[in-house]
Amino acid sequence: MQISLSHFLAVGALLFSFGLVTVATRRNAVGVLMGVELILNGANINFAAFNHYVVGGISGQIFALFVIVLAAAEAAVGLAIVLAVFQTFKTIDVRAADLMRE
Amino acid sequence: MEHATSELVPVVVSQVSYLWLIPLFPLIGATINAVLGWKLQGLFGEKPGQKGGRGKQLVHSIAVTAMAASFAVAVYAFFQLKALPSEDRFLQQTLWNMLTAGRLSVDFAFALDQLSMMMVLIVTGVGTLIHVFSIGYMAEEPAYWRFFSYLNLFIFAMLLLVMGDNFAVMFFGWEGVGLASYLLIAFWYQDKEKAAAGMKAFVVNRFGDFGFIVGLMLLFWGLGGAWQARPGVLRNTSYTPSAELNTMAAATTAAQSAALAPPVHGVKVGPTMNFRELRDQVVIEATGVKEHLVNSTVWGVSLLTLIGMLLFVGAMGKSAQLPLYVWLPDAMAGPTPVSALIHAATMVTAGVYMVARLNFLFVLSPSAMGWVALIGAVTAIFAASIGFFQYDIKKVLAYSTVSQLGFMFIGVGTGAYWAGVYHLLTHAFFKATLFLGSGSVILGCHHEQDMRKMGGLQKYMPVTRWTYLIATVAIAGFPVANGFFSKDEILWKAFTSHHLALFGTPTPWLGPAIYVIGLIAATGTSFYMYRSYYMTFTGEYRGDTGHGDAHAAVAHAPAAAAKVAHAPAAHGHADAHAAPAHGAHAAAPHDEHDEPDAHDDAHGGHHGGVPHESPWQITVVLAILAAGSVLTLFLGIPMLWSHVPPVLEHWLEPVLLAEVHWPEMPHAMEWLFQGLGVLAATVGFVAARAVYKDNRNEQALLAMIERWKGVWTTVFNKYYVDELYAAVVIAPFQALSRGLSWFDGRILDGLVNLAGTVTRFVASIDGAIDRYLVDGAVNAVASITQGAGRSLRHLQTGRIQTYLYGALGGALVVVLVNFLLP
Repeated sequence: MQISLSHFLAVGALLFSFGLVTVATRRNAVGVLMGVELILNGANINFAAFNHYVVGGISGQIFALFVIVLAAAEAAVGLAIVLAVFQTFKTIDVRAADLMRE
Repeated sequence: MEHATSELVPVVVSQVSYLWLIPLFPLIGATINAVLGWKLQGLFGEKPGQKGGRGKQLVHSIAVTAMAASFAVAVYAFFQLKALPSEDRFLQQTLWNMLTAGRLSVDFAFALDQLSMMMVLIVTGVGTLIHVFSIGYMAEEPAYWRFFSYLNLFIFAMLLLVMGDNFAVMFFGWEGVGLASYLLIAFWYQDKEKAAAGMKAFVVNRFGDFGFIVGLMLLFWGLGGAWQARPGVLRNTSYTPSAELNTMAAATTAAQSAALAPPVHGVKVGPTMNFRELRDQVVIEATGVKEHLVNSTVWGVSLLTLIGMLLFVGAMGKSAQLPLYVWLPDAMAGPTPVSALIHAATMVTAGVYMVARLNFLFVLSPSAMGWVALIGAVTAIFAASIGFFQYDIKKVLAYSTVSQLGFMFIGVGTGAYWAGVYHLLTHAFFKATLFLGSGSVILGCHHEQDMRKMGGLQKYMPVTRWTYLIATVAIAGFPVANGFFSKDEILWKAFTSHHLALFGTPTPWLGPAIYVIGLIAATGTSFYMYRSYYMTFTGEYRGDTGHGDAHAAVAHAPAAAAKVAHAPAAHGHADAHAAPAHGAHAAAPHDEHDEPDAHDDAHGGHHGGVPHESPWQITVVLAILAAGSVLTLFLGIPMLWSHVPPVLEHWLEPVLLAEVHWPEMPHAMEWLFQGLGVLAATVGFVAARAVYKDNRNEQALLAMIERWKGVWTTVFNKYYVDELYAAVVIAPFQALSRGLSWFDGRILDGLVNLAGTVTRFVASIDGAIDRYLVDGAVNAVASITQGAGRSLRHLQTGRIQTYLYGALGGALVVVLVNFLLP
């Protein structure tokens, strides 16, 4: 079977959906961050696939690399926020952090 | 008193610049003590009731210095006046212009002529002595400073009264002395009765002042001061005063005002407030003013008679004549120096002074003069008879004062102006001595005023006794002291006057009738004065010698508890106004006039139980005044004795220029009448001596009282005049005020309440509209907003994932719309 662009896009879409569901449903803040990683990686697959099948060259891969670096930075900041949340609420359940309602 | 009218010329005025100092000093003294007195008095850490400390010395030094300075300036003025030729003795000082309207120009100005000079010397001289007396008398008074401040204020007002160059300044003084009198009568204002006495004096004087001011306005009107031109005003003159009075803008300065009035025969003619201008235009016949006034009538009554009567109503109030005398006996509630200064020597003579000052006006109306003399005579005998049976030593002197003022009015009423004024002067001396003597007695007997509780004081108080005796001799009318000379002259002139009139018809019998009344009153005078002397100074001391302890323990117990407060409960008044039965008992409860000095144990212990002589400030003053009572007789040695006019008559002649014709009488007759005067005094003296000397005829006296009980009770209760006033004046007024109160409570309040109810009804409608319509709309908006907010706030959960659902939903909608819409 010839692996075509549609397959890659399907995988990317699956990853994105899984990530979205994870972000939307996980109560654990670390889980939410992991969901974000899935979303980003879903996007990376799209970058790589479109570059390979449509554009050519390596610009898509370079973008994917940037996104990986960005995801690392984001994870660092995200974990720091999780720590701060934990210190404040003594839990990392995202439903507890609802102070913005007030 | 004979003057040729053609010789009269306008008064020559000498302008001087120091007259204002005379009233200024007492004003300064009053101000300092009023503003700083309480501070000064407490400066050396004194307790309020303490006797004569250094703070009090400071206070009385200020007051007495002010008086002495004033007296000194007055003496200086006297010598300057004396240096002038006798016709031109008139010192004048204008301070500032108070009012200029058309021709009328009123200055704040002082004037001294012979008459006011005499008054100023009496007021400042006797005033200074009484200030000194007060140092001793008021030593234990907590409100020492207040007393001296009032006293100085009184002197200031009195000096305005006598020195005023015009009616306006005189009227300031007239009202000012009324105020000072009120303040001083009600000096111990915590005591309700004393406060009421002050009010009574003030209110009764208002009646008099009303007459006075109406008389002034009538005089002003008669001289042409009217807003509408009246026909026939001031014939013989070349101007119409009303026209110029109407144009106020025409003259605003004194010079312009003077230019409006061309002088007639060198005299300013027309409406004026100035005594000198009034005198000039009335006495100089060429101006025609006299003729005009004599011929004027108001509603058929002679204008001058009406003016004279109304001015005399003012004098009645101030000088305590029938029927307005009732305030003076009650005025004895004030401290004794006040009684001596205001209610004997000076203020009460203001009416006499006023009549004498306006002699040129009164003499034009025989009817006014007749009424003045008649009322004076009736007052003299009426008050003298009340004096017979009073037991309060000060009340005796009060009725005596009313009686003597009656004599003065006989004098000025019959036209013997100088004699009336001379009696004013002699009375100032002997009555001040008597009052201060009574003050000394009251002090010596521990604030006892009932003569039944005195007796035998000659042993304890020699100086007071001798001075009191000298003054008694003077008032009784023995020719060794001044009273004889003035009273005899008055009575003699009354007998010989045939020009008096009543109701416009000549009544030649009036003069002799007044003489007879006066002679009987003089006998009575001698009787009640010797009675008071014998009751007080002879016999055995009837007071409580154990006073110090027993008294303090019983009657003064509340006072001792309240020390400074005056314990009104401890007052039983012998003159109980509304208790006739009361008077029937000789042993009626006597006066407990608590002077509010410290009635504590220290007081009793200090004095011991027996009476004692007063401090030197009191005895020295008594001695000086008693000496004055004798020495002033040289001012009035009759012409019959010395063949020259009496000194005072000669001195006053240029002022008292009223032309009264006395018929020539044989000298023998005059001698006879002088003998009759002495006889009257002797009869009174002998009668009083027989009954009251050494208290030896007490049983006979009581038997006599028992026999004439009805008469005695009537006289003792002062002919029920106070009750009469209560029934005739006070009761209708109270009925009227009750009626007005009913009108106010029912009718006026009803109207007001009706208006209130209507307003409230309208307001409730307004309120309903406001509440339901306006507020409803506003509230509806608010509750809608609130409801919307309440439901929308649920969207705001604060949870990140909820927002994510929102974002997803939104994205989904966008995608769906994108796909579904063509």
